[in-house]
Amino acid sequence: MRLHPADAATLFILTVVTATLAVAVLAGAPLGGSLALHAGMLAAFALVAWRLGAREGAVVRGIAVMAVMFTLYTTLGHVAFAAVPWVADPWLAAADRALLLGRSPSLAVEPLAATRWAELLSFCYAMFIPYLYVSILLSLVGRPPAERDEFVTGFAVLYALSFLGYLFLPARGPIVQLAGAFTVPIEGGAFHRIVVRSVEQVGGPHGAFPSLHVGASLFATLFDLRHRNPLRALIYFPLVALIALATLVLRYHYAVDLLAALVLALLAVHVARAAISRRNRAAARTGDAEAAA
Amino acid sequence: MIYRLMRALWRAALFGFFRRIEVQGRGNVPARGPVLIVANHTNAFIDGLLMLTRLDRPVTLTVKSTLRKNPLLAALIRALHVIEFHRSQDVAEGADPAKNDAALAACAARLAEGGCIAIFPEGVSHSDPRLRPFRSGAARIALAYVDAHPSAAPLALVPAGLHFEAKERFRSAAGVVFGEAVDLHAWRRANPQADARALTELIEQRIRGLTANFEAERDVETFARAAELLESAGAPPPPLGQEPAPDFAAQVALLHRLQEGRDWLARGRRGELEALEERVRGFARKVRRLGVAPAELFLPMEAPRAAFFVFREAELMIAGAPLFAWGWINALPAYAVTRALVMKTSKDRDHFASNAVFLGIPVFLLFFVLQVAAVAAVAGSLGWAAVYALSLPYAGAVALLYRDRAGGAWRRLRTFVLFAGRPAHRRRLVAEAESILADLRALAEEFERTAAVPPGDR
Repeated sequence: MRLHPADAATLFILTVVTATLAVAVLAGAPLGGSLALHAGMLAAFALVAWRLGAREGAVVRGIAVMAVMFTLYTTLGHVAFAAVPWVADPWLAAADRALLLGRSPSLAVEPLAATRWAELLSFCYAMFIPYLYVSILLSLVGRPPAERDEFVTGFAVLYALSFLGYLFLPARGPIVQLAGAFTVPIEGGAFHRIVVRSVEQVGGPHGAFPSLHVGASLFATLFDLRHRNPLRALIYFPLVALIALATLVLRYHYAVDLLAALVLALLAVHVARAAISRRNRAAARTGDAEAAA
Repeated sequence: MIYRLMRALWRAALFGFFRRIEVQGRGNVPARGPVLIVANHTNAFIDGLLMLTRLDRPVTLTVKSTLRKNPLLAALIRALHVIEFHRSQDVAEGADPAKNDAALAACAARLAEGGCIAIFPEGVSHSDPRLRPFRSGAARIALAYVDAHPSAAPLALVPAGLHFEAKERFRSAAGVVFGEAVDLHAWRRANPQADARALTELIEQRIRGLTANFEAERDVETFARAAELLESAGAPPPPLGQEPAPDFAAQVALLHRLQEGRDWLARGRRGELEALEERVRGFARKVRRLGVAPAELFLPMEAPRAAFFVFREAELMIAGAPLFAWGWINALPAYAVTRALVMKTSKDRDHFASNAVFLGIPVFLLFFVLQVAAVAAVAGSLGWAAVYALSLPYAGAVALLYRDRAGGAWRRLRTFVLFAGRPAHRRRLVAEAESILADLRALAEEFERTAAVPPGDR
């Protein structure tokens, strides 16, 4: 049975997470519950992948992949700190300073946090969720099967690679690492309060590297650009740029997180395109061979 | 440098005027070596601009000498090394046919350098439903070069068909189809006695194969509707934004097949042909009165699909409204001035697009500079002026695409509401379309069978 590339990426990250948690549990970390949860997800998704087989354009696959990735997004950030014996914040902060020749980008944009920009950027940061969900809905329902498969594959590759960062480079971001260095508080309003509350609801800042806010929104934009929807891509590109700025100004991400997200989004688009074209070519060859037989 | 700058400006202007420009057979134009492109001529300067902007290699244009009377064009002709030909019918306007020897020599020199020349053998841009008689200039250029350089790099003669959905309409589609190249050195070896007339006939035959030509204007509509029906195949139109790129080469092939079929039917069953043509024309009149395209008759009418359509389009329209408004408001002064100038200066259908592109570039640039300067003065900040300057082309592009999409969405919505309120009317039209489609298919099968039988056995 040929494994669908989206299933392969999802099974890969679930396996890595489960194996890492198993090692941590064996080393004495109190992560038994998490291990059971992730092992259960692995088994459930393997069952879904087995049932779906190589079927093209299955909406159920898209829903299953999204469900796994969104669950991992909320579970992984915190268990990572207990599963690996290091924290990546000092390394990421150092890399950030190296990017700006010794100055921290988070501190460089600090003046913006004390202006009305903070509220506008909070609004943009919050808009990530509706933008992503609508993009997913439009891709799962409104696209031809091959494009749907490509979207789901790219999404799975992007999230799987990003979760490797969450797991092996656990970081809480400048808001925690550089808390003592910031000199002004963020002057936000209602939207900023919504952002703060939603971050607190998932247990506070985590999973800084890479920025999935930037990675996922950029992936959705690039995907639209590639698949005959330049208008939607152009409309949302300014929002993606503002989301990137917002993650810095609101102190949730380092600049290197944004760079990594940019690279991963481009990679996901490329890998998805290559994987689905290879799969379609192989399917066509098989069809030809069957027809010839 | 000037060539590249002008090319970029023209690309931007063509993007502004046309909704879509499709290029097919680009691989038929060799990337290096001497090339002579010959094409039909139906949209004045636009035809040349399509050649300049859609090929990666530099292209030398040939034009009539009288264009030099316009000082702006004269400057461009000089800057871009365009080659001028003096036509005999332009003598009263100052043309000097004796200078054509120099023009031919310039063409030969350009080809000897491995250059690419584009020429329109009809010699004049027109709006006729068929090609005009070809002049021998292109053939003479080619033969002069081949005879003078028998062992040089082979000269590739590339025929091209230029297509316009509605050439005078803002945001319509255009296409260039490059046909298979002819190795003129090889052709010359095979036809050592051939003269310019023989080569002109070959050029005309190749261009005819890439273009749709009709006996009369009324045939254009009849064939276009019949071809649209056959292309739609009675299937629902693709969702907005997912329409395949127009395949002009396939459309021309289909029209040629229809014309062959029509000639075949006219030979022995004229009554049947006239009845079928009248049905197609009658059907076209009905759908035109309703303001729908034939393919839209087959629009899915199920409520869930309609709801998803409304959701998808509303999301795009609402999210894009601020950028659209920004782009539209800022482009409005330049657009209004360009439009007024184009309406004032365009007398023929094949002037609109050319005038819009040529007048639009300086007008938009002027307004761009004025608006950015005004923002810099009002804001007192070069930074904000730079942001504003960057936002203009971006928001302008969004406004154009938004306008196209909103137009498409409005059209689909209108069709849906129209048919939802008159389902019986829709059923009658669909039945009529399907009946015409079935007859066309049956005739096509019969024609294919007849064509397959050798003439002696019929």
